[in-house]
This record gives sequence, C-alpha cells and structure tokens, in this order.
Amino acid sequence: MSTGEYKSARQQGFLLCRHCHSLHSLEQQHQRCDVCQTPLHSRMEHTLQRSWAFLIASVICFFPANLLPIMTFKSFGSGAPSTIMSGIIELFSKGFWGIGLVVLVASIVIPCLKIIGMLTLLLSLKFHWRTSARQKTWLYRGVEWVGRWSMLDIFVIAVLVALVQLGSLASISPGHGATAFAAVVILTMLSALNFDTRLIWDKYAPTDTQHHDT
Amino acid sequence: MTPENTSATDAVIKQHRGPSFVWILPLIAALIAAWLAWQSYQDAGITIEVQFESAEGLEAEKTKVLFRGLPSGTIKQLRLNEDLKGVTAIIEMASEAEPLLHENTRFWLVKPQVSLSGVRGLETLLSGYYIGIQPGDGEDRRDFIADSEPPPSSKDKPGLYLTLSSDSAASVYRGSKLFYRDIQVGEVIDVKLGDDQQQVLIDLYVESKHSQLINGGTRFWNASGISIKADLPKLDIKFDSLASIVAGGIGFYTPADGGELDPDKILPLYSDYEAAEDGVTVAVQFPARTPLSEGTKVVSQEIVIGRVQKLEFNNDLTSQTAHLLIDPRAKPLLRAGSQFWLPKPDFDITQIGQLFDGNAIQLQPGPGIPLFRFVALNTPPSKRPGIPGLDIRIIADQLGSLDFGSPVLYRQVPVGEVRGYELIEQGNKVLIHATIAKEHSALLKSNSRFWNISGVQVDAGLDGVKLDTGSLTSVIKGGISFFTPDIKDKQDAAPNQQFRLYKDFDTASQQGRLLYSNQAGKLQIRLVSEQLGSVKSGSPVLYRQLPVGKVHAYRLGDDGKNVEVQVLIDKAYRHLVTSKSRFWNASGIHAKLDLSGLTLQTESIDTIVRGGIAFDNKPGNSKAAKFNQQFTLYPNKQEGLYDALAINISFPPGNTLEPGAELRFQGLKMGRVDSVRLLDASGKTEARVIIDQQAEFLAREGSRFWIASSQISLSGIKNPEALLSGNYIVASAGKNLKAPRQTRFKGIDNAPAVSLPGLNVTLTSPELDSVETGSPVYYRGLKVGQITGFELGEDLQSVEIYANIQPKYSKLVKADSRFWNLSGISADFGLFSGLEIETTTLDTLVSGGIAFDSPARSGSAGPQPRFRLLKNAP
Repeated sequence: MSTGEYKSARQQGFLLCRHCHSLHSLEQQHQRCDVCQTPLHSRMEHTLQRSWAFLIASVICFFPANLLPIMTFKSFGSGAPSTIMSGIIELFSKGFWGIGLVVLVASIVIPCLKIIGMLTLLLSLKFHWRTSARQKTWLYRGVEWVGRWSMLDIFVIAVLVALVQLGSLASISPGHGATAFAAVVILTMLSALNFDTRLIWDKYAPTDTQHHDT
Repeated sequence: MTPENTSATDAVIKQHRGPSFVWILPLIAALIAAWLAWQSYQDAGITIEVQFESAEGLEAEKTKVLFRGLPSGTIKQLRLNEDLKGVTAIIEMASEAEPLLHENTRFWLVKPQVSLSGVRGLETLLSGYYIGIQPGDGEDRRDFIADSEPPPSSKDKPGLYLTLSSDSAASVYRGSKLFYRDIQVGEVIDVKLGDDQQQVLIDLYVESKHSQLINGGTRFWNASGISIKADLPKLDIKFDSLASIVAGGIGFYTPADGGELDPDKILPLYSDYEAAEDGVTVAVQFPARTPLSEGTKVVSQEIVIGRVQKLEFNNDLTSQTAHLLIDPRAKPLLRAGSQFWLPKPDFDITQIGQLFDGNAIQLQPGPGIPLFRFVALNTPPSKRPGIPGLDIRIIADQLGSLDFGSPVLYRQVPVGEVRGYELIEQGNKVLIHATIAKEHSALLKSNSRFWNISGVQVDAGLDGVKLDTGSLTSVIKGGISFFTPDIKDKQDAAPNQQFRLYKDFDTASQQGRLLYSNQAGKLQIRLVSEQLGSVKSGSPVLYRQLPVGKVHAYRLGDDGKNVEVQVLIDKAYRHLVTSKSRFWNASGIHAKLDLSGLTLQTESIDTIVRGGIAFDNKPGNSKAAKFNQQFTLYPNKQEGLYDALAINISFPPGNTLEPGAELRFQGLKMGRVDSVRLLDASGKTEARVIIDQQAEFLAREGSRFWIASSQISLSGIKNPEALLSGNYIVASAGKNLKAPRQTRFKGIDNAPAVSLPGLNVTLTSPELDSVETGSPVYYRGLKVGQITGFELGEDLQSVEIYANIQPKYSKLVKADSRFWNLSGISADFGLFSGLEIETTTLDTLVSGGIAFDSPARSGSAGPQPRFRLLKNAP
C-alpha cells in the first residue's frame, strides 16, 4: 500500500455523513445532513478521548466481571455461586466441549479481543506507530463486528433467571459479575463506537494541517 | 462542546481544554471495583483449618459450618493430611464468627442419625451434611481437630442441670429421656466416667417448665429397658414407657417434703423403682415352708402396698422372717392386730396375674397401736376383710367350689362376695360368710333363698348349646345366687342373719313355686298328663304357634300316675286361657307320607327339640281361667281340640294294621289307629281307633269297618296308596245316623257291597267265573253299571253277585231281562265252521264282565230284582 499518494475527502473539500454516507461539501461542517439530519463532522471531536475513557472503564469492569460470580444456581438449598471461568471449567470437565468453547469465546475471548484491539488502535494513534493504516482499519472492523456476539452470556443469564425460579427446588439468581460483564460489553461497544476511523488515515495525508485530538 | 460557528469564514476554533466529562465513567467503574474489592475483602472472613477423620460428607465450597442453625462458614478446600490419617478442611468462617474460635471450640460433622432414641440431623438429608460448632473458651485459635460425635449440648438452655452418679450406665446414654409419669421432662446430655473412674456421671437436663418437679428429696431411677426378674414364683416384667424401653430413660419420684435442691450435688441413680422408693420396713415371721421370695408382693384390699425385701431363716429353721418394705402411705395399716398371711397357691383365671406374680402376702389391718413386727397366720382367717356391706351367714351341706371372693349374684349381677367359710356343728355343716355390698343390701330380704351356682349347667337347645352359668367367674370360682320370693310382708334381712344354701334354683324356688315378683303377673296353671313326653322346663307354650308362655316346672302328680306340669302364661296372654282351653302336647314331628308327598307337621321348629305345649280354645261361652286351674294335657291336637272318640274294632286275621294307620270314610281321613293288640292266637286283632269329632256318626250302630290293603291284579292296582302308607281302615256309616252310640265293632273281611245310587240287581250264578268287584255291566256294549260285590249264596250252592246299574240306565232292566257272563274267551271249534273266537271287549277278557238285554215289551223290574246269570249269551 502506498501511503503518500492519496488525498482525504477533507483535503478535497468534502465530508461524509457518518450515518447515511451521503457526500457534502466541507462548508457544511457542523450543520446537519441534508438527507438524515445527522450533525455533520469532518472529524469527530474528542473521539479519542472518549474512546479512551470508555476503554479504561471497561478494563476496570473486566476484573470484577471475571472474578465475581455471575450467577448462583441453587437446588434444594445447596449450590455455590459460579464465576464465568468456573462455569466454563465445569462445562469442559463434564465433556461439553462445544458449549464450553462457545461460552469461552463469547465471554472471555471476545471481550479480551475487543479490549486489546481498541487498545492497539488507540495506542497506535497516540504514539504514532508506523503501522499499516489499512490493517488498523481491518482491525477496527473486526472489533466492531465481533462486539455483537459478546452479549451472549448476559442473554443466557437473563433467560435462566427468568425461567428457573422453582422456589426451594431450584433457583438462579444473577450475581454482581453479570452486571460488571454487561458493563464491560457496553463500554467496549461505546469505545468502539466513539472511535473515528478517519483519524487512522489522517497522518498519511501529506499536508495534514488539521488538528486532531490527543 | 464546540461553539457553533457564526460564519464559515471567520470561524474561531477554540481548543477544548481539560478532560472530557466522559472520564467520569472510568472513575465510576473504578469506584465500583474498589467497593467490590473492599466488600470481598470483608466477606473473605477468617480461614481456619479443621482436621476430620475422613472427608466423608465434606465438600469444598458446599459444606457449611452452622452455629445454632446459622451459616457461619464454608469449606473452601479439602486436603489430605500428610500422614494420610485424616483430612484437613480449610474453612472460611464468616468474620462475625471470630468470637467463636477459641481453644476449646468443638467442631463435628452432623450426619443424619436414626437411632432408637430418635432421628437426628434429618435436615441434612436434603441440605447435605454440615459441620456443627460449639464455642468454647480459651485463647484464640485457628486450627482445630473435629470430634467424631457431637459434644454434649452446652448448658445454656433455660432449665435445670443435674448430675447423677451410678454404678453402671446401663442403657442410659446421651439423648436418653427423663420421664415423669411417662411424660418426657428432660434428657441426658452426657454420660461420662467420674474422676475416680469408678462412678458413671450422668449429666441431666430438666426443662425449665418441669424443673419444679425436682426437689432435694427426688430419687432418680433407671427406667431403661425391660427389667425381668425371674424367680420361680414370679416373673417380674417391669418397664416404663415404650420410648424408655427402646431409648433407655430415667424416671424419678419426688416426695412432697424433699427440701431444697442443690443443683451442684451429685445425686444417686437407683437401679430400679423400688430401690428409689424407700418405705417402712416390717418384719413378719412366716412358717419355714411358706413359699416366699424376695419381691413377693404385699397386698391389702387388692392394693399392692409393698414387697418382700429380704428373707432370712431364723435360727431354729422352723420359721423365716420376711422383711417387708411397705409403702409409707400404708403405714397406718401396720398396727397390733394386723394379720399377715400367704394364701395357698391356686389357679385363678380371674387373677391370672398371680401366675406371674406368685401369690401375694395379704394384710388385714388391725385396730391396735402401730407395730412393726408380726407373726403371720398359718392359714387365712375365716373372715377376711371384704367389701363393706351387709354381712350374712349361709349354712350349706357342702362348700362346692366356693372360695374366698366367690361372687354372690342377684339376677347374675354380682352384688356381694364370699368372705370366708368354716366348718360348724362338728363338721356336719359349712358356714359361709358372705357380704352383700351396701348398695345392694336392700335386695336381700329375710325370706331370700340362696342356691349354689357353681359349675356349669349345660342346656342344649335349638339355638345352640347354652352354658348356663352366672358368669365365667362363677364357673371357675363358684358362686352363690339368691332370689327373693314374692310375698307381701317382706322384711329386710338382718345383719348376720342365717340362710340356707340350696343346691340349685329348682330346689331353692321349690320347682318354681316361689318366684320372682316379676313372674307374679303370669298366669300359672296346671296340666295333667299321663306322660311328660319331651316337655321340660322352659319348653314353650304356643297359642296358634305364638309362644305365650313357658313350662315352668313339672312333677309327678300326687297319685303317682300322672305328671303335673306347671305352666306360666305371660301376662299379656293370660286372657287366652279360658275354661274352654284345650292343651295338647306339641312336641315332636308329625310326619305324613302319602301319594301326595311327605308332609311334616310341627307346631314350631323349636318344639321339635325342646318339646312344647300348644293350646286353643273351643268355641262357646267361657270363663277366664283361674290361678292354678287344672287342665288335661292331651297327647295331640285332635284329641285335645275335637273331643275325639275312641272306638275298638276287632279284625279277623289276615290283614295287618299298624298304630298310626288312618281311618278313612269316603276317602277322607277321619281318624287314626291309636294302638293295635292281638286278641288270640288265631291272629285276631283289636284296634283302638281315635275318630275325629266330625266323624262321630261312625261311632254308631250300623257302621262297618274293614281293612283296605293294596291289591295288585290283572285288572289293576287297588288301593295303591296303601302300598306306601300301609293298610288303612275304611269305614262305612250305617243308614241311620242317629243310631245309638256304639264303641265296639267287629270288622269285616272285605269291602261290603257298596250300595250305590241306581238299581241294585242281584244275580245268582253257579260259579263266579272271572267276575270281580268293579267288573262292568254292559247293555248293547255300553257300560251302564258295575259289579259291586259278591258273596256265596245262603244255600252255599250258588254265588250271589251284586250289580249296580247307574240311575239313568236303571229303566233298562226289565222283569224279563237276561244277564249273561261275558268273561273270558268263547271259542267255538267246528269241523266246518273253523275256529271262532269271540270276546266282547278286551277289557272283559281280563277283568270279566256281565251283559244283559231286555225284551221290548216287559214290565219294569222290582226294587230288588233277582236274576239268574247265564253262562253264555242267549
């Protein structure tokens, strides 16, 4: 990929509506889109800062999400709260490899990947790593795509809690871990949402005089 | 954030300074995380290590530590000890449980236990095992060794805690109950050896609401299990509540004046009830051979008041001294004059307990000063203490099976008892002491009569065999019954009045003449009979098969020939008996067998077995029967009711008759043969026949009697019913029904010629040929009459045959009529004419017959026409 021979839309006096992808002239900056009334920005302001904030919050929440029990299953009054990891281990030890793998991927791997992916993007912008902008774009798309699967656990718990309320026979109650986990998922999504991919490309623009957020 | 530009050209780009407010999010997340971390640190609690013998029932992350049912910790991890002799549970205790963890704190595993004393830890079946904890004192500690069984419960429940000491812990163990009158009032919380290793110390907990039952004088005894003391005279099985049998238990007795209780004092646990209950000790000297043993009961008025505690032989070996332990409450009974004796062992169904208990020493209290040494009587006193009431004396010839305590019955209700007996009048009589209970003493009058009801009176009736006894008791123990005859001036019996004991009710009541007052309303009548038959006392008296009374008694009449039966007619039916009443013996079965079948007749089924008397009233004016009126008892209904006539008929030899054979007139039964006797050597017999009243015309002059027997001949069977029922007598009445009465008749050989309506014709013939009685008489082949009889003519040269022509055909006989014999076959054999066989009818071929014809012009025959019988047809 050549990095020095293209002009960004801004350089050419255009800006793109982020929502409906209709093309506007740069003069319409801060106005609303003719098509969908979305505020038009050539570059989103403070996006990096917000993305960072959400990401850091999600990292903080990631620890209680995995350390605290996400739910307590009680049958005949006995039962212990289980964390995500202990549930996965139990599934594996009982031979449910498939389900265990799905839960592992959805609950551990994907949040981790999202966090690491976002971290990579933000750090590369922060420290101006000379890495392929195209790969970073792919990375961002991957993070965004994979995010939709990460709420799987929360759905499962929500359904189970609603269904398994059999009094003293068996009951399931959600734990704080579930809340934290949901927070992780939502925060990473927000972090990804607030990241303006156009910033990746800005530094390759040869005459970039525009400001960008730190 | 960025202020909107007013114009696109001179936009003032302001750099946003300071952090975005979005940074508040990580801050909040950090705060929450910090709070969670703090909380988990708080929850982390105290980690302790407890060593168990095995990890059975222990589960990491699940098994909890419960203190008074409150979860206070969880096993986090289980680890095998390095010496392989146990497991260590790493338990995370809640931080609030910190004060529990001291040096003497006990841990144990609670498992479900099903034992005789109950079910414990049932909740663990569902919730899983848990670890119990009992806090102790001492320094703080974090590693413990679990007990193998629950420690004794701590003495922290409200209530009374006592310690008992015992020689052995015989079936008393932790959890054994403390019973007071079979109510659980506490339990044993620990059983352990005392410090000197000699005594067993039993820690006892008494519930607070029952703690007032215990005072300083309380004596505890071991109520565990079944205690069996087997000695020859007694098998002493003693146990408290069932719960105490299986679980063991402790009972106690608290005297009223026990004094203050010192909870710290160690109280003794006695081995049994008697050991706990001390009483008054009495020494009684018995003859050496008296079968006493330790534990033999002492009884006064049927109440156990003590036991033989110790036996010892005296120096002279002729007596033994029994040390009795008497209930303190019975102390007033021990006075000078009190009598002790041991009744002779006997089998007594009513006191079967004695089989197990052995005999009990009897005590009869005396009136004197308190005394504690006695000499026992050799034999029971003749008058024992009995029930309070009216004392009477009864003189008897024999004692029978009467004994002490035999009941005195009135209408089979025990109203008193025999209290003793002795021989009087140089051994000729037995004097029986009896007492009628106070509430029944009014039943006894000065004229009451006693009889012995001992033994069994068997009365077999239709309703089964009836054992007629006063009660089961009286079968075995004997008994006396009495009744009071119903006389007007009855006086109450005086105390110690003397009565006579009759041997049975019949004797006592003089065969029922002296009766209970409730029988006074009954009508008593007398029936005189030649024979008693199967009538006996209790046989019913029936009126139209309805029982209206009973045979009460019977006796031989004063003349020695007749039997006099006393009958009691119930009050409601006494009007039925009138001067016109006729009584007959309804006993047995009347069976009648004839062609119509077998007929059984009896007044009632009851009378078949028990006999009975029936009566009915003849029509006509009658007066009510008087008391003790005399009636005749007829042997059967006919004679009784219908003034039956008896006639005597002498019969020629040949045909036999049997008693019971019928007398028939025109085919109807009109009487029966009562008896048959032989008159002479030829075989002549005389039958006594009872004739029903309606057929009294037969007992008049002119009547004729003959014996009908069945005859089988070619012409048929005559009198077929006689084949089955035997021969019977046929009677024919004389012409004059007002003829003088006659009771002696001479029977005839054969049936006389019957004078039938129509024309009677006399035929004379030299021979009878095959003509028989009943042979037909034909006119032009039509039967118009029959042969009614035949006899040898007076000249002895011819036979006179009597024929009867039916009335409508009588005109056919004219003065010139010709009669001929049709009997047999007439065969003509001619050389040219061949054989010609002629017979009129097939009937005449066998039974014979007579035919006649009459010329057209002829005068009518006379009233008694005579003709000659031709041998052949003219």
